[in-house]
Amino acid sequence: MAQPVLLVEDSRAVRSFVSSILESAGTYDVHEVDNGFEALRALPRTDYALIVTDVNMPDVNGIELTRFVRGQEKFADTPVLVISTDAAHPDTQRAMDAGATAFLAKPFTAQEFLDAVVKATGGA
Amino acid sequence: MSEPPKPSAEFLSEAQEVIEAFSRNLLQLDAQQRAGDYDPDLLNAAFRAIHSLKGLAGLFGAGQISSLAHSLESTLDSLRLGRLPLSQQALDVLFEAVEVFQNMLAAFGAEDAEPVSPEALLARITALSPDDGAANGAGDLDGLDPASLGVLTEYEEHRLRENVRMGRKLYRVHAAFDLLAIDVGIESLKSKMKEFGEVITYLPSADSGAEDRIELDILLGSEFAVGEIAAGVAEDGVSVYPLDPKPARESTGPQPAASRPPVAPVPAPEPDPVDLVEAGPEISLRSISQTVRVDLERLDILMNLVGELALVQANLSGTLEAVRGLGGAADVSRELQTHLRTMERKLSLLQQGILDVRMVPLGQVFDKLARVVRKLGREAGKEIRLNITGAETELDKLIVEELSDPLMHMIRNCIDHGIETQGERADSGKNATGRIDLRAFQKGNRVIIEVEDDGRGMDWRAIRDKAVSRGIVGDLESREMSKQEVIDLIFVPGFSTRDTATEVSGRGVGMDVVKTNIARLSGLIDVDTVPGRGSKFSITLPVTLAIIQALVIETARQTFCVPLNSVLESIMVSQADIETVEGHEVVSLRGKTLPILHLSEIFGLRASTRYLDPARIYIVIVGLAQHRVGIVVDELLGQQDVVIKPLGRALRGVPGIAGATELGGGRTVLLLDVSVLVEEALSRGDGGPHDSVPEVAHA
Amino acid sequence: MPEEDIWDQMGSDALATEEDYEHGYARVVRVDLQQHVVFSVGDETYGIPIAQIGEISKPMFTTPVPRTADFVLGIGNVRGVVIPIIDLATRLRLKTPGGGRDARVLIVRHQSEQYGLLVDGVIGVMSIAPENLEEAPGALAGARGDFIRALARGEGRIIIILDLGTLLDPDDFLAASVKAKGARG
Repeated sequence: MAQPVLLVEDSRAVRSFVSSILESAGTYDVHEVDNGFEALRALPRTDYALIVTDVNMPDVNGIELTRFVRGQEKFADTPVLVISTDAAHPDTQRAMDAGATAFLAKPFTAQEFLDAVVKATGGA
Repeated sequence: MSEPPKPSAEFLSEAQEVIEAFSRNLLQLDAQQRAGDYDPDLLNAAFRAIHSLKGLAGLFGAGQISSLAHSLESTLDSLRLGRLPLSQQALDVLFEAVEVFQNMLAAFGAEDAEPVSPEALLARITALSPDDGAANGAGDLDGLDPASLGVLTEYEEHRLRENVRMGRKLYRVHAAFDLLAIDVGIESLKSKMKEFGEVITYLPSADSGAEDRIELDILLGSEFAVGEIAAGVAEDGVSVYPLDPKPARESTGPQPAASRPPVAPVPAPEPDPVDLVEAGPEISLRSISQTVRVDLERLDILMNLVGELALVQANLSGTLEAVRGLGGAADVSRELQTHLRTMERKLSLLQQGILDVRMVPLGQVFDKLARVVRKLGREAGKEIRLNITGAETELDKLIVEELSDPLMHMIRNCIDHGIETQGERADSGKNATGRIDLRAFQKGNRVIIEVEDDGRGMDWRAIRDKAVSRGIVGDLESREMSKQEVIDLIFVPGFSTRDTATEVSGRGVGMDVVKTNIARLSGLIDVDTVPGRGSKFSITLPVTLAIIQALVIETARQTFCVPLNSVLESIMVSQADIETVEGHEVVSLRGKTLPILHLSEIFGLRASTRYLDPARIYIVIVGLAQHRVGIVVDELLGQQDVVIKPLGRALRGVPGIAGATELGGGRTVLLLDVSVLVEEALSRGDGGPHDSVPEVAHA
Repeated sequence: MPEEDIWDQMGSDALATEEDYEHGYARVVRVDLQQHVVFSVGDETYGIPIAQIGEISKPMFTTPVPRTADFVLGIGNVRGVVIPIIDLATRLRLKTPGGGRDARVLIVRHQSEQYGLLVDGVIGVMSIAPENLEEAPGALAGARGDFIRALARGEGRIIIILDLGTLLDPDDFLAASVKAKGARG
């Protein structure tokens, strides 16, 4: 059965790239949103199996979103995969500190992304 | 091509948007920086744009764009973190990057594009290196909860420090929203808070009570007192708490700031959160910006289909007439007539709907022009302010794209020839800063675009002398011309020539080319000028181009379409009504004498006889402004909506032909370019039949 | 020659059919050979790389366009797109005018626009190895030389590979009389 995934990313093209990777993998049902507020709105409605979020977004950033997700009982153990442009950037570390499961630096290939997803979801 | 085509198109369109947004940010920053103080949000938006571009380009294999974006990103990061001052030099580099990115994008999209080399720009970016370790004497955040700092990005933390450094107080604004209405609620709260200071970030926290509500703590830096802010945003059911670093020290705990109680005494009784869904009656549950991007080619297919449907409808009407002619079945034909009318109405709604989708705001072009003004003004050592109004005015996308070059040229002319040097302006008692106004507005089904400068204007006597010396008009002839007629000579080919061209205006392109380009869009251009005060160019354009009403005519057994908006009337005369004045055929219409022309002659078509029936000669009177000309045709075949199709690169230069269209049955017919035909007829009328003035000038 | 014969002659593997294009794929043959559509105009044999050819159609109705050069037959309508159709024989200054029973229109793509080239007949598709291509000798055949990109030898004849850039130069499409007038600016 397809697992629901929340994808939070403000770039349309990156969103559709990531989404198509997940969907072609066949086992994911991707819900795309383009900002943190939309993510907040989506979270209570679905028990997502995975959350993929960009770090650098206006208003509610990916770090704040991660912390929020971790504060929710039903998402306490949900894998959060953070995509960022730079592994060395302090913001990437902050996202990990806030409770992200893994991060992946852009640019990445479809395979790299899938590998990261598998790793984040514990090899499911 | 190994790249999958779809993401590539998607990449190009988003990258283009990102760069346009970046350019708009820069223009605003530039204006604010000159005024002395700029909005840090704008700089952050510029950073984010390039940051997105980098990620985007990396994913889609646009390595060159990605690596340039990378260099630029660190520069912008330094700028927004205050490690590098936002100087005009820095802005120059950023503006240059806009051009380079656009060239790179164009090269990325084209098959046989020239490579773009960013080396010069990269060197200039490197030259802007920040003063290392300038730990920007930022404000002290010691008292703030480290857990709450931990969820801020580096930039947000920097803004917090900056606000403290600027002597502002920090506030936590607490708000609760219904999840369904969060976007609307946030927008309204955000705009209220912005009046008091800088919104640094939003920290979400779950409302333990309800699943469908969310609580937010918003960090705000402001010089206002807590009471003032609370009063300003109170209606939204939010509460404001000062976030004073010092007293906060003792309450540092393991929990994030958001879930802690207020760190200072509550200034006013905390009002119960107002349910926004009830407060706002008409809140849309959908996202505010709900747009779909459509490929123009797909729209063209729809448009063609609509055109074909219109033909089917016309055929049905014909069939109905035939049925009526047979007599009988009156009920049936009446019913058919009703359905046909309904169909006609729906068809025109459908047509309008498709046209609406093609509309884009002129702002796209105006932004580009603003960059040009800034760049050329700096190069020419002139201080110029560009005022833009009506950027939201919409036109068909095709028109907006085609307008870019002519407008660019007009702006260049303003800067090069119109606006005086600062010294000259001072001498004539003008403000040292020159001014160019770029206005757009809709007037009926036309859009007017005005480009006005407050420069030296044009001296009509000087234009006359120059036109005479270039042989464009004869000396005697020029003395009979009105002032306006003389000024209009600037649009004649050969008027603006090399000796007036500078670096800024470019070579060999004159106002004649501008006029031709505008005419290609079925537009008109006028000029109004006052010596010493400035010049105003006005372009009048149709809002949409794709579908027009046309008069279908036949001459020398070939069918043509004439745009109906240039047809004044059609008359029938007999050969006796046609007179000859100085070798030209004319006809009198209500006391006015009109030159007439034969398409078969000017197009060199083989006609069997001059007039098919000398007793019944059809003349289509066409006109632009005050100029009128009659076109002799063999048959008037009727009126019809036609979809204009471009002729392509090889044939679009054919004078007198504006395009082609399909008339059903796979018949392709040509659409006449009336403005060119009128002009030809009039220039022929100026002198003898075959020694018109411009040709003399050329020889 | 009936339509089917032409396709047979071309070899079904060689040339993408219209159907293939509609489905968005073309069959791949050997990678190192360049495929050319070979056709006749007058007494000569010409070729154009298959990549530049969108489709081959029967001569279509064309609407003459006034004030254009003699080789411009007019405009034709290919799937709703208006494209210029040119008579290759006239363009190449060959004595015989184009047309005839086997005549075809090659729809070529050049700088993202389409053009129709009327030819006397399509011979087939030929794979030309790079070593069999020679640059056009400089002093070749006067005015026509500009249109020739290379010469190829194959199956015992010389095939003239055309250069679409010069063949479809927009500057040449206007009638000389119109150009003279327009040049006065």
